[in-house]
Amino acid sequence: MTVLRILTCLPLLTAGIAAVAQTTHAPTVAAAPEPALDPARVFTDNCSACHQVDGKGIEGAFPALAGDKFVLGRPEQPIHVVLEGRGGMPTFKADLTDAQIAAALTHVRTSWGNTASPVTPDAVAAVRSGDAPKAEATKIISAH
Amino acid sequence: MDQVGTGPGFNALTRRFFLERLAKIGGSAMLLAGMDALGFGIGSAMAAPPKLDGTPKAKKVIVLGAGNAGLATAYELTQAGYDVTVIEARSFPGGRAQTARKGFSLTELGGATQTCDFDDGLYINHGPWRIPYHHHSTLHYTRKFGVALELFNNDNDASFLYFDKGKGPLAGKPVRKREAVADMLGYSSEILAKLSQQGALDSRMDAEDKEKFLEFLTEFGALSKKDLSYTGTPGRGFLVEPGAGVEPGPGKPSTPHKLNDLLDSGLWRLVQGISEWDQQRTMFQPVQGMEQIPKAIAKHLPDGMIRFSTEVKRIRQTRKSVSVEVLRDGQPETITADWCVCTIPLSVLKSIDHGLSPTFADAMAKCAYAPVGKIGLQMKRRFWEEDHSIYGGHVFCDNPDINNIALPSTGWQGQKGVLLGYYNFGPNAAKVSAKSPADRAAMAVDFGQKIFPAYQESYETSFSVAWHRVKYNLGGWGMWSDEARATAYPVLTEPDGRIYLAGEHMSYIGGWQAGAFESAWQQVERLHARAMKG
Repeated sequence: MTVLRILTCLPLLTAGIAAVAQTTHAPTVAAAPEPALDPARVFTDNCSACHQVDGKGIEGAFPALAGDKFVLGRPEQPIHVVLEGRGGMPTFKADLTDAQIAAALTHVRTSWGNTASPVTPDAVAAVRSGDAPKAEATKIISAH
Repeated sequence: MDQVGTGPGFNALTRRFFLERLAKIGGSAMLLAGMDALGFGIGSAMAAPPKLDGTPKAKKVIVLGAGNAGLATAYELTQAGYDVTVIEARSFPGGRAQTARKGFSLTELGGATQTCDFDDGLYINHGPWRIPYHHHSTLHYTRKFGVALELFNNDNDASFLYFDKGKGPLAGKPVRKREAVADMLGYSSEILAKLSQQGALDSRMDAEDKEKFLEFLTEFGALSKKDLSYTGTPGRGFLVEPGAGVEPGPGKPSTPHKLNDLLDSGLWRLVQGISEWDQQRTMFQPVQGMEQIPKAIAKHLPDGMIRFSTEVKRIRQTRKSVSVEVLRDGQPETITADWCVCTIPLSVLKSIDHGLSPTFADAMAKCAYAPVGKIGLQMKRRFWEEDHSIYGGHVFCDNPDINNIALPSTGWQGQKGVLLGYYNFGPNAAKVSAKSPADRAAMAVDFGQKIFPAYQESYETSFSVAWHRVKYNLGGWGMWSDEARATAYPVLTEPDGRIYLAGEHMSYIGGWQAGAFESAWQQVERLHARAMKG
């Protein structure tokens, strides 16, 4: 069965490459960009709208991350919160890869005077239950 | 529900017996729900507010929040003879059921203040914006209070799909939805029909069924009766549309896209046979904006019942009463009542000194809230109608910062219009919301320009919201993980002492107004049953 699949896939794959080669108007198609893993960038994109670029949050709404004991403690705790959400914060487990979560938390734990250890993708994987999302996966969202 | 018969003996129950038992246990509302479940027509579970008979012994109620849940609670309890006070932090009723029009102002936490400057008569529903035909509770109030409705075009065959992350000639190109649907159904039917004809399905159906099935596929996929091939259909549109005389006369048919191209582009993802339950036609919207619903309910409450611009600071209860400390224009006041119905979003309630039990507080913390963003773009010309014959509906795309552009289902063929420039969620909503209002608009307009040549030149002004940054909401709607739904949610459906929670977050119709209404109805019914006992 496995062999059959590989065989049936090959012609399709070749055809796909040929189609791309013939396309003149779609430079975005050529190669999907690597998901940005720069810690500051991942934080700015996903976290700063609430926790603010300076990590100070907004009192009564969004907790400060600068100097926060919870954030600077055992990495398993903030990893769990990013994955599962908590008390108003959304879950990011379906949206961010292990590497992206590690990057964001590394930024949080090493910025604004914070000096905790960086977070590795493996540490995130160890806390995550279930499959990580694929980078750049297309998701159809059920809206209201 | 367990006691109503889901056990092994359930199959032996007749429908009628089942319905009679339901009526006994849950009253007429549950009877209607049961009828739905048995296929008499499905709807949101409660079709009418509970009947609250009798005179309650303890009848002073404080309702926290004048969104749809709070308004419905106040209205139904007032009708039943309760003495109700509603506390609302904003200066207007409706909660998230807002409509932005000229002069409407919104300041996001950590963001700039936006004041809407759309032309008079134009607006965007930046909160809830559509009402499915089976949301009986929402439609109960629109009917009861005469809120005029119009159709919301939630599915437009002529609209574009725009996917630029795929491959092949259809990637990065606006494609009419009718073309993608006709071609995907056509090719799928052709393949299935030919396999069936070759005998691939013979073990599954006899000759007579096979013939009917082939007939179905031929019609469904617009296949040639001669050789079961798909070569296009008028439904996908014409190269030259039919008209008068002999030229254009019958017009010229269009040629289907290639199946591989559709698959490579990703457009197939938006082809479905039946819409999701929440997204089906018929869909409504109130004439002149969603705010008409809460305004209509509020109008039917006694004058002064809602205390606007009043924030809840502290909630406490004893075995006999609930007291709420509020702040209005810097002036503290304590209001005491027999009962409290709290409709404040859990994302906000958690930061209030609520005095709820630790079990309750733990359960509340398990509800996450959705980052959600929307933007309304005023266009000086309705180019989507004039240039493309697209009247309402959505342009779906595979850029999650945008997700969909929605064309207005009102003001047809007028001069200007406000369209929805994006509707984003989760990390994408977080990312976009970190931009200034002007940069959000620029991002939205740049994207729209890829689809509509007149987008940029027609754009005039915008109004955007990021619900996770709105002070009294801190999120678009509550989201329960499977685990939290199983453990935390049931805890919160029970009262904590004399305090009941209501709102869309306390329903399985989360994020919809019907969830707010039905949650309110359910809690009102339970509160009343208890108040009757004293």
